Amino acid sequence: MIFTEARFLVFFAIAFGVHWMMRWHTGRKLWLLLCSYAFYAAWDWRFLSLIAASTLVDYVVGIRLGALTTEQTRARRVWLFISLLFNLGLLGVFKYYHFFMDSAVTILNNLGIGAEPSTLQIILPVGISFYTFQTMSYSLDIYFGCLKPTRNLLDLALFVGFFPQLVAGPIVRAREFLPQIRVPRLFSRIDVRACVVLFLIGFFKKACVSDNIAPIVDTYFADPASFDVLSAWLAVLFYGAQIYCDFSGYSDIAIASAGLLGYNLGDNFAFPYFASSIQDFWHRWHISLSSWLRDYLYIPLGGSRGSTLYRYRNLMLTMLLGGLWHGAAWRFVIWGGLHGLALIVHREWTARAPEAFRMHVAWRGTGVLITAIWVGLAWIFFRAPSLDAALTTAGAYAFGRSSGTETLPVSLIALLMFILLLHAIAYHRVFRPAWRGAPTWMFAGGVGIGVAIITAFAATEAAPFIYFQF
Amino acid sequence: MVDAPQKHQSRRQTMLRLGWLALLMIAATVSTVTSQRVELHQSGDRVLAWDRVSITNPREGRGQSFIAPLPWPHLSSHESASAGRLFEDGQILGGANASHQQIRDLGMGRYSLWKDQIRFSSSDGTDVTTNGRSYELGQPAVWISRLGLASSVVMWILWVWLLVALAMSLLQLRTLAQRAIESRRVVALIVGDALVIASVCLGGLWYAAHLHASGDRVLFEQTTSIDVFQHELGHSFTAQLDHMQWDGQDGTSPAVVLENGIPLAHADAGHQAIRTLGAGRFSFWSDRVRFSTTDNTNPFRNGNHYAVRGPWPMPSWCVPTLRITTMITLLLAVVVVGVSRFRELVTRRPTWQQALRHAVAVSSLIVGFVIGGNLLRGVLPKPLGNLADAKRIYFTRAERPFDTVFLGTSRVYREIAPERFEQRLQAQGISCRAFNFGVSGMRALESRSVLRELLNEDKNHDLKWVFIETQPILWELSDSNLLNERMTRWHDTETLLDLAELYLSDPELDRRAKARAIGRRALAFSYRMSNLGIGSNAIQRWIEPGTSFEDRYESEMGPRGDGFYPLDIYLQTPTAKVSQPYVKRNEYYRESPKRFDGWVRQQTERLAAADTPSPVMLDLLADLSSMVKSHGATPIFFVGPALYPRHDLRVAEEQGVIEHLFRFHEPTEEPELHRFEVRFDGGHLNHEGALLLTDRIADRFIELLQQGVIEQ
Repeated sequence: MIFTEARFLVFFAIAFGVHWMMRWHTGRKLWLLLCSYAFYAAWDWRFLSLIAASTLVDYVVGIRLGALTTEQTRARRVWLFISLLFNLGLLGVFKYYHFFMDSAVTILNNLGIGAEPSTLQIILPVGISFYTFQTMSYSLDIYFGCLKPTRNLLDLALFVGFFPQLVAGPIVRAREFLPQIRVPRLFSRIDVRACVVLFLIGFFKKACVSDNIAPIVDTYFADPASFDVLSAWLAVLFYGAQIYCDFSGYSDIAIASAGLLGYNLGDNFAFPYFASSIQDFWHRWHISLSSWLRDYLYIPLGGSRGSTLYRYRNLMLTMLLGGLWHGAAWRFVIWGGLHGLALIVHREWTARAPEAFRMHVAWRGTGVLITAIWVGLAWIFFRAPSLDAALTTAGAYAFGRSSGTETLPVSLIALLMFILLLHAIAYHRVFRPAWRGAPTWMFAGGVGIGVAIITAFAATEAAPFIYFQF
Repeated sequence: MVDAPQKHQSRRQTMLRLGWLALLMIAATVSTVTSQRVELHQSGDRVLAWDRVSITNPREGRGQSFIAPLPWPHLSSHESASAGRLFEDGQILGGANASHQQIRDLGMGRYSLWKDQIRFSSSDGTDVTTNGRSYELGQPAVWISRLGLASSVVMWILWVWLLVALAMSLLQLRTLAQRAIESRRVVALIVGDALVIASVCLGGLWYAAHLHASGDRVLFEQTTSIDVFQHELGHSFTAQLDHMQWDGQDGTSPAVVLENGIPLAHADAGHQAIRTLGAGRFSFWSDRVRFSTTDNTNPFRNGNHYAVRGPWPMPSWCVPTLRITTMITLLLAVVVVGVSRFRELVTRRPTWQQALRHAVAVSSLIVGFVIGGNLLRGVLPKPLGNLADAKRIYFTRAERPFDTVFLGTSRVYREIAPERFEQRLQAQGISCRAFNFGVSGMRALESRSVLRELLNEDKNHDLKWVFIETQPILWELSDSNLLNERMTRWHDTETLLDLAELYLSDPELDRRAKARAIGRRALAFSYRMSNLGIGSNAIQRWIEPGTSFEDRYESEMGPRGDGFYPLDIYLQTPTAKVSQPYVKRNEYYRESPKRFDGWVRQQTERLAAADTPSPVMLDLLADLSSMVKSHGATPIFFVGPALYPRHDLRVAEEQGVIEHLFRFHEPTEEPELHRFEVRFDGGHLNHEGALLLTDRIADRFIELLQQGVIEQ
């Protein structure tokens, strides 16, 4: 079930209506859990068992960790290890099995040791990277003493399985979400207007922008070698727009849906293409993942403590693993590596360049441009179907080398400009005062016009959200 | 007030009692299932284990049969079908209770237990005395049959026990219920909300079960091993499927036959093809499956394992039971929640200002949507729709205007060659420029909408002759047709209003059917009015100027771009996007010329037995005719050689509703067009047939022109 499908709208209307019709808090939670599991079962009910197992394991681990004192370090480590082993094991088997096996087979074959590729076919369960990270964050928070374990299995199950964020985030922290579950929600406290506007914006981004430009990008990446340099630039820039609208669109709908049900998921995007540096980019792009990696990977690795080399090692490792989190392929590792490299260069630059110069408007503008170009280069490895295709595209994009003669329509530049204009309008929140202060009837009329625009511009062949595969 | 330890004790007792009841329930259910299975075993329908005894001293009988003494004469089938089965090397042979004639002539594992003898044949026609295989006679294991009485007794005891326990628990529940009623909170919050959740869940289950039962979406699949099968004829083997009917609607079965776990390739094959061609063809028919092996070997001996996989056969009571349970739960939920909220509503009744504000907001939303939608429709270019759009554009952009147009279904699109028509008329000194405006699947109501568009496009009134081929009115839109491009395309406001008028004026439809039909049309209308995807379509066309009607439909407009594309030629093109039913129909048709003869015979009989056409259809035909006439052109109706009786057109002609009607669907009058060789399938002609039909239409038309019946 995709957020932009009609059946999701029906599903959400029922979930929303029944949720607010009920008064019994536990009943509401039970209802939301049922809805969440039904939502997931719409893909494949068999993998519900993984979510349930992950929930149960961390429930037990949480209670055990909570029962142990800080002095019982060894026992605490054992319990934490169980949680990490189980969750990372799930990821390892269901997401990375093929990657590791194929890599091992390639290495062995290169060494002259004959090895047969695995014939075992493992299906990647939707959203596994998201819910395993959430359950791990629960155990890790208890281990680090930031959270008290919950004895209410229903609460934990709802935290893990809450349908708006179940399959593609945002990755919610237990310490932020569990307290919300414990307190009965009140409809009167919901900012309905903000939620409705966010829902429409998310829908527009996904159905009207991302899905419409997907065929352009697909056309290019089907055979990058046959296109010229301009096409490579267009394809990369369009992919940047596509993935942003796709993922942030999903996040917007998720946050709005959760908001309408009374839960706050936090922000996940903050106009990342207006970031003036790569570090700024990661404060704006997939915020829930970058903060997760910072808190549970970068800092435990040593963070910014220690020598420069040690810090940069931590940074690079975090980004490489972040890349691998996105997909089980070397392309994603390279993507992470490129971002890691950029972050290291940025730190060096920050340490050496005078602050007055760095803070100057002109330099910040240049920073936005450089960051966007570098992010675009990294996106090539994210999108290309193979490493060869990625290198071909990168050659055309970075060095202007291409023997291809085909070209994407030049009219796409105008479309790109239009998308940028929309983005700028959104960035400056031009319409915010209007819809905030408008009388209800005018707001409702505006929503009606918005729905009309979305239905007209929605691509009829909706593609699944890109981040579902992660 | 109850103190805490007492409350805890009472809760523990309740839980224990509930656990005990659940245990009893499970035990009673298990014993019922056991008892039923034993009964099935006794009857031989589903045997759990076999008692076996060797067949000794077989001697050669006539043909392929062999005769041996029957070790258990009580299994003889001379009075009723025997539960005894023959095992060849431990595998059951499926041909039990066969006639002695069949055993002699066909063999292949057929056998009969007759009085004190067993007459049987080997599974592959070899000599049982020399083929080295063991033959055993089996009967349902006696020790299991003896369990029958015991299991029934246990079952009854458990059920009585359960009922008593339930009754006692209910008495206790009364006390609990009284306590609960005292606490309004419990009733209002827990019971009400639980009922709401239950009703929604049950509703979901009901819907899922409905989808599964209707075959729209299979929820669970079941794979059943074919252990017992028998030879039918040729390469065909059959097996009985217990409680499974997978023959499917419209002749397409959702199930497959697996050979060593791999699905056989040719599903829904004709029985004759299975027998004569084999090679993995199979078919589900009622509660049986007919199949052949991939290499036409004998499945008794080829060592392969056969199984069938298909939708889980949901018991017929499931859907209605779930429906009723959902309704009852929903009703209870409404009552309980309603009662519990009534007081709240009374005390916090919304003011009329609030109610008005909400109503205004909802109205504004709808008005905003409608205004926005209309503005966009006015601003954005028309979408790249279906073939009708492409044809309309070809029609309007033609350098030399068309004066003759053929309007209709695939019977026009695939069967009328404008070039041929022009040449035929040219030979008689009549000049014309013809265009094929046939669109697959177009029905009578659609024809009117398309005709209206076409006449509007013919601004200079160049059209002189409009040939119209119509299909009967499609009253009920099927799910698959409801929201497709073609349907939504023509459901504009004017058409919807026309349709509503037609439906309301039809005396044959009851009120419910009218409401349903109009509702479904309104859905298609709303789909169109929501402009779904027209902006996206415009963007795509703006980005890629090459994506035009011409480019997109060039392959479907026919080699000459005059809208004619015969099916047999179209199917040979690599870009053919013809729907699978066409291919299947063609295959089915090609299988047997005799079948076509049968259809032709049926058609002749149906034509003889005329029935009264719908008055609405007659009105519609009159409407089509007057539309063309008021445009200054001449309407000529025709019926292609499809095998459908069209009494409505005949009656319309007799009553003077339409003036000119060319009929080609009567086999006795047009035998040339009803030959097997000129047809693609039962409903369409092939290229040769299309040219023949075009000639026939042209000839009749020339005749009328020369007689002066139609003005040149």
